Parts: sequence; C-alpha cells; structure tokens
Amino acid sequence: MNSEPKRDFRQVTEQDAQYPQALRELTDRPPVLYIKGRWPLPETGLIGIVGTRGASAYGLEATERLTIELVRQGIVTVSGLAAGIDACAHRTTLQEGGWTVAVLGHGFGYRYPKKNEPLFDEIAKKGTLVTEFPYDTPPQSCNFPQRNRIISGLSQGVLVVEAGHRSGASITARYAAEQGRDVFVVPGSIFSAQSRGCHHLIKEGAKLVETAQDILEEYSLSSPNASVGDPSLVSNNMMDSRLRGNDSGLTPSEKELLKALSSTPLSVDELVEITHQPVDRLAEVLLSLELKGRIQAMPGQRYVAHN
Amino acid sequence: MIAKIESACLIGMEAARVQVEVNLAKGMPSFSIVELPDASVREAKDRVVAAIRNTGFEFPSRRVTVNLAPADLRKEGACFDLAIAVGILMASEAISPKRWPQCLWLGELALDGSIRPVRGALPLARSLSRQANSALVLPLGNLEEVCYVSGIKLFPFLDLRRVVQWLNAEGDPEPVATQTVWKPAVQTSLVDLSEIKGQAMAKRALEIAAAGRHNLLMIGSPGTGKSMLAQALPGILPSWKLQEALDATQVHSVAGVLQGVGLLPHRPYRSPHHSASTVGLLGGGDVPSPGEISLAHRGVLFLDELPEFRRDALEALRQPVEQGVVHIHRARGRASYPTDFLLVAAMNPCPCGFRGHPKKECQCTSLKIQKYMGKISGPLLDRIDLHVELPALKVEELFEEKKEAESSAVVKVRVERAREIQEERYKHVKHHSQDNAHLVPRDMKRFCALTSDGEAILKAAVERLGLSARSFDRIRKVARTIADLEASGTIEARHIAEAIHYRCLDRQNNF
Repeated sequence: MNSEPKRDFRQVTEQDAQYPQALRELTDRPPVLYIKGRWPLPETGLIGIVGTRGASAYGLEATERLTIELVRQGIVTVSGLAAGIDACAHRTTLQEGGWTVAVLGHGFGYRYPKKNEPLFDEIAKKGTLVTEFPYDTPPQSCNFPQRNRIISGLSQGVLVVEAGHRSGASITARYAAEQGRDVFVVPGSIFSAQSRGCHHLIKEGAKLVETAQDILEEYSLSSPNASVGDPSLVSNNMMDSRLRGNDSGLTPSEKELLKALSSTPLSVDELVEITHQPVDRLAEVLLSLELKGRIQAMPGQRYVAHN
Repeated sequence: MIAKIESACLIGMEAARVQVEVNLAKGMPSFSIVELPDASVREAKDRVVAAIRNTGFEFPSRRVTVNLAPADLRKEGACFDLAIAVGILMASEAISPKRWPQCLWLGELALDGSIRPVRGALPLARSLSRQANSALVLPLGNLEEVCYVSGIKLFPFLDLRRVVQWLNAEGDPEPVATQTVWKPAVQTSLVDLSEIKGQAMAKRALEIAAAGRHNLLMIGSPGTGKSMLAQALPGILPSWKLQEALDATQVHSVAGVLQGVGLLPHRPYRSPHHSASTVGLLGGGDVPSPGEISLAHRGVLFLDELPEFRRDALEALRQPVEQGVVHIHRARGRASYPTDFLLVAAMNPCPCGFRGHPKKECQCTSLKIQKYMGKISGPLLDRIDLHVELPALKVEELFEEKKEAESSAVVKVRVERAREIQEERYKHVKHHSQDNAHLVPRDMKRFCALTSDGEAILKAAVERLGLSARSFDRIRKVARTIADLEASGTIEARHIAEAIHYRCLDRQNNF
C-alpha cells in the first residue's frame, strides 16, 4: 500500500445519475462505487465472464475464442481480475481493442494478485476498474464472493467457462440466477475437475454455450459471420499455431508424438507408454514441440496439444 | 612419584593430544582431577578407583592428583579413564612394566575393570595416523571401526588386567595388523527402482542425480512415490570405496551413533522429519556434535515436505550444501563437520497437494500457492540442479502389471560408468571435487562447451519458456551429466533439451 493515498479514482453513490441502472435493481447493491477508468458504463451489452483460477489449456482457449467473438460484436466484458479465466478474458478483450470491466475484491490501495499488476494498470487506462471497497481494504478471501454479486449485477448475462465444484465462479452464477441474469456455461470433459461446477449448472438449467452466437441470440444480437472455427476469430497466439498447423517442418518423431497428444493432458509416463520411446528421447521431442508452439506443458508435468 | 602418559581427545573431527600426569604425594588420601575436566571426566575418579580395585590392585592411600594438559583445552568424555588408571598404577609402582611403548591411551573403564568402547575412536585414529609413528591403545570394542585405518599401530584390549599382563610381558609389542582389505556390503537399499510404478521421468532424474551428484527436488501430489524414489537412490549410487566409508563412519563415530557395526556397510541415508530443529539438522549443542546433514556425509539426505521445514533451518543449509562442510561455533568450543551429501528434497505442488491432479480439484488460492513456494528461498533452490514434477498416477496404473521396469543394478552400472568418465576428466583439475555438479564457473567454459545447435535450443528455451538466467549454468551442468551417461564427449542439442525438462520451477508460467 502506498503511504499517501492518491485520489486518482472517482466515487459514485447511489444518488448519482451515473450509478449503473443495472445495480439499482439489486437489494444488496453497494451504496458507493469507487471507479478508475472509463465511466459511465453502457446500459446494455455487458457480459460477465468468470471461471477458475486454475484454468486448463482448454478453458483458456475457450475463453479466448468466446471473448474475441463477443468483443467483436461490441460486448463489454466484466470479470474479477483473478488469475486464470478472469485474467484471460480481460487480456483478450484488451487485445481485441474492446472495453473490459474488472470488479475488484479490495480497495485501490492494493493491486492483487501480484501477477496481474500490469493488467491492472492497463485496464485502468483502457477499461474500467470498479470496487465497492474503500481505498485501504486489503485483499481478503471473505470479500471476494461479495464482489461477485457486482460482476453478475452489472452484466446482462454471465458466462461460466470453467468452475470447480463450489467455486467462486459458481457463486457468481448463483448470484446471477438470483438477480435474474442469464447464466451461460461452457461444457468441459466429464473427467475434468475444473468443469464439475459447470456441468452442475447445466443440469440446473443454465444454457450450454459452444459459440458466442449462443449468447448473442439471447439478446437479439446476431453475429452473421461468426461460426465455429472461423479463422478470422482466432487470436494471434492461436493463429500462430494454426498457421503452423500443417505438419511441414516437423520430424517424424514429432509428428508421431503430436498424434498421441490431444487437449486432454497426458503425463510423460503415459506418453512413454503410447509411443514406446525412452524418456530421454521423449524429453527432447517434447521440448522441440513446445518451442514450436505446438504443445504446452501444464502443472503436474502433463502436456496438451494446441489444436 | 609421578607418571606421565599420553591420551587424546577430539576437537571437532581432529585429534588433540592430552598429557595425563599423575602425581602421588604424602598427605591425607584424596583423588582430584584438575585442568578443565567436564562432568564425565570428573566422574572418572569413581570408575578408576573401582576398576583398579576390581582388577586386584590396591588403590594408593596417598594424595592423588591427576593433571590433564594442556590446561586451556576443554576435556570431555570418558576416554581418559584408561590413561588415568595406568598412570596411577605406574606412579604407585604397583606395576613395573618391562616395556613402555610410545603410544596414546584411549578407553573408558567399567567398574569391574573391563574397557568400554569410546566415542570418536575412528576420527582420532585417522587424525593420529597422519602423524609419524603413532600407536594407539584402544578398547577392543572399537577395533572393528578402526582396523581399516592404515599408518597407525593398534593395541586393542578387553580389560585392565590384560593391559597389565601385556605391559609386564617380555618382547616387542605385537601390533594388530591393520586390515587393508575391505569389502563393502552390497547396497541393500530399501527400495529397488523396478518396484516403483510409472514415473519414468523421475527415475531418469534420479539416475542423472546419482551420475553427476546433482541435488534433486521432486514435486508431486501425495502418493506419487516421492519417498520411494528417494529411498531407491542409495541403491543406484556407486559402490563405495574404503576412503568414503571411513569418511562417513568417522562422523557417526563422533556422534556416538555407531552401534558396534564397524564401518558403515553402505552409504548413509538420512531423512530427518520436518519438525527437526536447526541444531538437529546442522549440528551444534552445548558441546558441538554433528547433525543430520553431517551424518548424511557421503550419502543421501532426504528432506520430505521441504517447505514445512523451519525457515531458518533451510536458510542455514545453503552454506553446507555449497561448501561440503559446516562450521559450528559455540561458547564451549567450535567444530567443523563434513557435509558432502546428495540432497534430495520433496514437496507438494501446493498446500493441499492436488495442483495439476487429473482427478482431484486443488483448493488453494494463488496467494496460498505463492506463499507455499516462497518458503523455499531462491538461494536454496539455486543449489538444486534438478527439479522434476511427478504426475499423479491413475488408479489403473497402480494395479496394472506392466513389463518389468529397469532394476537398480542396471542403472547403477550406467551411473558408475558416468562417474568414471568424470573422474578421468577432472583428474588434473585443481581444487575440484570429481563431479559435474560441483563444477566452478571457471571450468564450465572448458568442460561444458555447447554445440551451436545446443546453444540455439537453450536460447530458444530461455525466450519461449521464460527460463530464468540462473538456470543457464544448471542446465549446462546437467546436460554434461546426461552426455556422460551416454559416454558422449560433446554436449549435443538433445542433451540440452532433456536437461531443460528438469528445471520446471524456472518456467514462468508454472509456479
């Protein structure tokens, strides 16, 4: 925390005209909002994108793609500036030149998590930072669920990308349902712990989302040319790997290994089993594929392929 | 009457000669020991009196004064008993020896006159063997550990009566020949590599650790086999040589944990609990004595649950890990103990242990994970060349009977060959321990030169994976060992590629 609070933020109270209409509907609305960046928010076209901090490669890829599609249709994204899905949604929006709103669970005297500090500054410049907490409120775990009601409250609908059982994202979805917002959910693998909460939400009646179209049609916002796999809708990062999608420039052993890998993370042990290669040889091929951007190492020494 | 007799005690790992002077004077019968004796030395009085009487001699009814010189040396332990007793017998002319060999006397007396083994006999003997013409009278019970020391004459005895008989006998004293032939026991490690399911990558890391003496950190969820892998490590280390066995055993001898086994039959494997105090780990105490890290000298030190260890204990590990010796300074003395061990550490990927687990969900916040990882400081991590993540095994894998994995014996052969290559290479390098892990930056250029391919891949990895600069040298050293395992003279790109896999903590996106 800085010793001298700098008043580089504004505050908006319930009485102000600039207080978001959407929040006025809530019974437990915050009396005061502290704001940095662009304000006021548009009345419509805000979608919350939330998910787990420990996102899988699949979750990040899904977030990236859906965010790009939404932003290109003029949607403003709302999220919580946490690691994982949240950060990915914010970052992708900014990369696409869109407007993103980050709702914080602490005062402006702190920047949390540390990893997202550059993102924090960028959003303050190009998007909006919102918090209901006074300047010197530290990041405390009890405050984070509370701010989730603002994420859902500001949004017309909430997209849950990956959420574990009883996670913060599930809490946001619950708030959204209580506040009469739509809940959209990206399905995952039935084996993935990160998607358990998502599947629970789908069972309870949330809308399953495959493309941004599934969200946009709820608000009569169609995106005529958006379709799954449209190459114009993939970000640079994914584009890179896709452009290199042809297998030229790969050695036979790299091709073979790439065939074995999918979006389900596989450990080196499993790869040894599948490819019948010794570990030292496998390690070399894995690294060269990683350096070529074709695969990614996940925590727990597991590898996934970028498709 | 006065008698002078020589004994010795240990200061750290070095022998210090002590003159035992016994004077008998007229006056009220009394018995006093002067010059900084500690409690156990003062109690020698009662033991010596009883031992002399029970051996069948009269304890002189005179004023007996025993002086232990030099005066400023703190004397501890019961190893002066025998010297004091023989001194008194000489001074009172109870015995008139036919011979008086130049030797040092060592031994604790029991009340019945038998001689008990003493602590630290091996380092004493080794230290004395470096001086010319030394001879040592010692308890028979210590012979097993001392008998492999060359360059010193040994006279082992079971009790005081036999000592007197020997002194009274004619002819030259017959030293016990030191045994130069020593056969190490076949290392029966707790776990054979073939018993461990899966974890091909970790097993390979273990092999590299053993071959180049690189310290190793294993990160994995509970039940992934971290402890088993660590226990398998002694089984793939090179069979040990007599000098190493003596080095390790003498530390155990000083600590008094040698239970009459002679030399340690195989490399020590120490796994202190994470609640261990700093003193317990490093050594210390009122009068310094070796800690766990010294007991692991020439062997393996396994620290399970690394972040749970006390922070100050971990910080204090840095210097001994780097220098192979720990210096302990206390009010009542200072000592240096060797700490040349292979460090194997294990930890969970996060406080709950399930980060990256395919089935179970991790409950930790990123702050918690950061804090957990932060408990291990950069400087300590800097001294660990290999970090490897262990994937959680699937239930099917636990039950499946796969084709037999490689046994420890097979891996050991490769390890020994790689060590020989290193020994040969570093033979003429000064001030250098004979392995890749301890290469100094000055020698890196000469021995770890990369091919242009290797350099390219290393550069690409640093850029793409966000490897930190500090991992640069580590990767090159590990790659050197991987090349040695293949008996390859040059470090190829593939060696570098593999080495990069063992730096998972340096990847920016990972932790």
